[in-house]
Amino acid sequence: MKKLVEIKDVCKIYNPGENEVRALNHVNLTIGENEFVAIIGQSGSGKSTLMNMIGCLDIPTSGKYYLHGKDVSHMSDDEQSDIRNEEIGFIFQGFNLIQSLTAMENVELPLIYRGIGKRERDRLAEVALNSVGLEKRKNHRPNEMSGGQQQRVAIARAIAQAPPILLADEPTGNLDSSSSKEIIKIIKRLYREGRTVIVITHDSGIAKQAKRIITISDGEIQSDIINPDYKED
Amino acid sequence: MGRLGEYFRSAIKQIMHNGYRTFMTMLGIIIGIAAVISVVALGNGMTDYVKEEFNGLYGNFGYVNLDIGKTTEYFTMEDLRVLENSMEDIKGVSPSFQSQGRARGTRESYIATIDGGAECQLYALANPIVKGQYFSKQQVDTSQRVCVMLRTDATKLFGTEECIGKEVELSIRGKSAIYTVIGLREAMNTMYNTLMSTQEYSAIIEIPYTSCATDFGYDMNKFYQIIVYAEQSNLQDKVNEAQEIMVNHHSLRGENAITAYSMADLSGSFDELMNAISTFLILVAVISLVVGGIGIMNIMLVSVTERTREIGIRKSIGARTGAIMAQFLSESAMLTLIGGIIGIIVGITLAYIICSTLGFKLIIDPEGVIGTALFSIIIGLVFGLYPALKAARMKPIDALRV
Ligand SMILES: Nc1ncnc2c1ncn2[C@@H]1O[C@H](COP(=O)(O)OP(=O)(O)OP(=O)(O)O)[C@@H](O)[C@H]1O
Ligand SMILES: [Mg+2]
Repeated sequence: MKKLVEIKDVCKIYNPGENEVRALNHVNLTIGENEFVAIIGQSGSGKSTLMNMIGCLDIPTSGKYYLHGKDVSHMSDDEQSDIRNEEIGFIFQGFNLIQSLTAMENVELPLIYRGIGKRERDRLAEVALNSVGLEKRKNHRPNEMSGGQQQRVAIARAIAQAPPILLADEPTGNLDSSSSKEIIKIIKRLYREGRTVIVITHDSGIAKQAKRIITISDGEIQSDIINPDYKED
Repeated sequence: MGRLGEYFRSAIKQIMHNGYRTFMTMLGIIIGIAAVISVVALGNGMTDYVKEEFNGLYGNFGYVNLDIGKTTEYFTMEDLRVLENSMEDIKGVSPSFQSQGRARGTRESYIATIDGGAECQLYALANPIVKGQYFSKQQVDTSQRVCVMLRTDATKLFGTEECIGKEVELSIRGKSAIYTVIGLREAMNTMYNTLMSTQEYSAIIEIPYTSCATDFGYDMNKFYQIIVYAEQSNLQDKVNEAQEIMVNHHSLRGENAITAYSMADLSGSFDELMNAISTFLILVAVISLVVGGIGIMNIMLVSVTERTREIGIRKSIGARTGAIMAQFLSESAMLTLIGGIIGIIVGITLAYIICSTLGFKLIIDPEGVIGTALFSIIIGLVFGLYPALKAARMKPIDALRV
């Protein structure tokens, strides 16, 4: 198995000095290609901080982060932007769609930043929207869609430029149970299609569907196991 | 280029999305640009109007004067010949024998200004000859009793403009002579007539200085003023040159006895006045544009704050600093450009209304309009820079947390 994410002795300290918070405390973690990982832990344990680190949204206070074997822990802002654009698809709890843009336009955004021409962009965005079953909602704005539909637009946006990693932070946190099931189904399918999927959740029902479960507590990895209950479906 | 197009498209969308606020934001720019456009057009119209009237009254000439308090010398016909022979690019030189007298036509008699001059006196007024012709050099040299008057004079004196070949009796200080009308000039313009409206009607009759001397007692070989006719562009130089030649010819170097004065001096100071007024008005307009620009900056700052989350989203999916900068800059440039275009339309309309009310010609110079539009974009870029930088420098995690 090829190494994709390698986190080596990473610390993240907020407010260094007085009342500092050690959100990540000497974390070591390796995730290979085409894995399905759930990260669980209590509120405040450092899950989102870890995800921001993996997603190149933040840089560690100390330690190293290698993505595809390349050190990305001390990159400039623009280099990080490029890495995010090419390597990572984000799925957030709050969907994070741009309200003034239609579903199609939201999905096209990462392609615009990659410099892909209009026609190819349209094609890719359409493929992505179709794959999450939203062919009929292309020209709707976020406020004209249900939460589940919005999250599916966000997923389409995350996969449109075909990044190898999908990072989902509480992807079902704002959804009812039937929408949640649907989203989890899509996420599992994306994993089966060959992507690496990392899901942060405190819903143990969701975690149980992942192949590997990492538990963190107080900024440290407490356990890292292969899910005995995992089943393909 | 494709990407820039995207930014502009999304800028337009953003602007349309916030119609009312956008309009209020642009108001400062609209007022500023409208002020610049209408003020410049008004200034042009006024300058044009005054220049037109000014030339209509005075033509393009200058004086070389002998100061009788400083010398006993005087000008003679020989001086005229010297000047004519030694100067190039002039329209001519002439003495000016001017008197108030009377003119009697077949219908009426009026007081008249009688101007004796050489053939180049044609250029003393801008009013063109509309009938017949001006007197020629040959007619001057042979002291012909011929005259040119204004079209309005003809109607007053003869009751008709069909008066070429008719005779008019001119009298100055008790001496009279009969002259034949050979040409008519266009009437004086409105400004002249307005200025003269309180005075009794006075004809303007031009005759050769030679016959004027013979008939009305002037001495062709003893006068104190020479008039130099030249193009406005080189008038000043030519008048100075004539002064120089006369100083040498009469050996009056260093005595300040010969002075020169040209109408160019007057039009120069008029230009200065107009420039000062224009500069002041433009300054006012620029201040209002800057105020408008600050308004744009405020709104853009508000917009950046409101859209912090959007900025975070864009950055998280790969927007570089430059892309966010470009997005916000194109938005503010677009705002000011649209404001500028509306301002130009309002400004031209205003200028049209004002100029047509005042009777000025509407002069809009296209370069100025394009320049103004570009300037408004620059204002957008300059005042949009700080908000755009603020947006672009946001850290995605901070921006997403909002
Ligand atoms: N920007 C910040 N400044 C200071 N402290 C922070 C900041 N972000 C997170 N923290 C702190 O770091 C710790 C880890 O936070 P993090 O958001 O990673 O938790 P989490 O596991 O995602 O929690 P939740 O399940 O509630 O989302 C918490 O104690 C939090 O208060
Ligand atoms: Mg969290």
